[in-house]
Amino acid sequence: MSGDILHFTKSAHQRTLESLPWFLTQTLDPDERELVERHLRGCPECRAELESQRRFREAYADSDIAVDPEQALAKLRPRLARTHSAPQPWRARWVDRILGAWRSRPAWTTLALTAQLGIILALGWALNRAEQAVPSYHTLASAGMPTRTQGDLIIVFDPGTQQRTVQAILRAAGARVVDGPLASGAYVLAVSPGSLAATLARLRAERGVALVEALRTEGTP
Amino acid sequence: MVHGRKASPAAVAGGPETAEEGELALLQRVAAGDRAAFELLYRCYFPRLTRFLGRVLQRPHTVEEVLNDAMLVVWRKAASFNGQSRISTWIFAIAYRRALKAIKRFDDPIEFDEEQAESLHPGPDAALMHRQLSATLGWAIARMPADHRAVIELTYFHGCRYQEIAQIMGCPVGTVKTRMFHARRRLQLLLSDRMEDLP
Repeated sequence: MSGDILHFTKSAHQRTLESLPWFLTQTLDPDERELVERHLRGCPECRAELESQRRFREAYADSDIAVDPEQALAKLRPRLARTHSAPQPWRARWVDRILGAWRSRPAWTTLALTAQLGIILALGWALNRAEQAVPSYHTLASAGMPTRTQGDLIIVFDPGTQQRTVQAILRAAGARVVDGPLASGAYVLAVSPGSLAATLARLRAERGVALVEALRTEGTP
Repeated sequence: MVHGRKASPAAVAGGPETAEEGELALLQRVAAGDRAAFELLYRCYFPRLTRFLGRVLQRPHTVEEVLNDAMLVVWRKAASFNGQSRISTWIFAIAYRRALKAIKRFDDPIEFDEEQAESLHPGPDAALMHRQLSATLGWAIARMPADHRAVIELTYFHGCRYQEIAQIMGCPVGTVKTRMFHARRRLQLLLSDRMEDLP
């Protein structure tokens, strides 16, 4: 191990410096984390930098943006209605435009377009053959995507809420975490049978809870 | 992806695979046009997107507009999510692109209340110093490029892995590390004059 301490290469030192932010947030892969730990043991400069980043991060995490989610969502709702409903008229307008352009075309374009169509069809056939050899991926519209997990409530804590406060809130409400953290920072909670409404109300009254919503209505599985 | 330093979720609950499936189920409902599912997703992401966009845009009055533009894209494009990244990465990437577009439109100076940063409330010494440091950091971060602000925010506050940040920002992982390194150096330079009296 002493060799690692005495014979740092410049690139190892530089790599450690570049990785420190993610070492601090504990998001490095295990092998990468181990390399950083080994380097830190013998490098006072990197240890000082790590300590500096830790202090920076503690001060940095304070948030000062205040926007009301309900007011913002209220402004978005009319746009949702416009964008998700009735796609047909939009398509119809484009069909009309294309047909109109076709009807008013010059005579020579028929031959050119026919040749172009032939080339496109040939390329499409070739591409189709190539794609059959490539593994496909699925979109959400595809069948066979995973389905949801079980739970009664979904909850989001205020970003500034301490871990011990979160635990105290959950204990007092008689709720337990069955899933999460979801990537959004939300958790899925389970509550005792028959206590959904009461738990929901209790959690909504808690400081430190940014959002809590029921995933089912009382009495449904 | 987690809120790294506070309410450490990893200590509270379980594995990321099932968690991702839970969000995927929600997004599937959004893709099918389920408004209630969308509003739930919106509320779940709202605090984190607000924070992220606030830091990247540095113009509080534009956060709501850009956030809504981004979530409108989520609403319209949910069916095109192909599972090749985490859902949060996909949503943050959309928000980041909308933020960059918005920044290009700006011709007003960045908003930063110098007076507010200077007029600190009285309180215990430690709290006072902490507020002072936070205000100073806010001043320095407002003077950095948007891509540096984004990588700092996603790393230190949102706890993203650098691979996720690369996906969100649409760049190689090496670029993420380099940006972070230079952002740190730039911050140190900016703060060097102001940090002398701070811990």
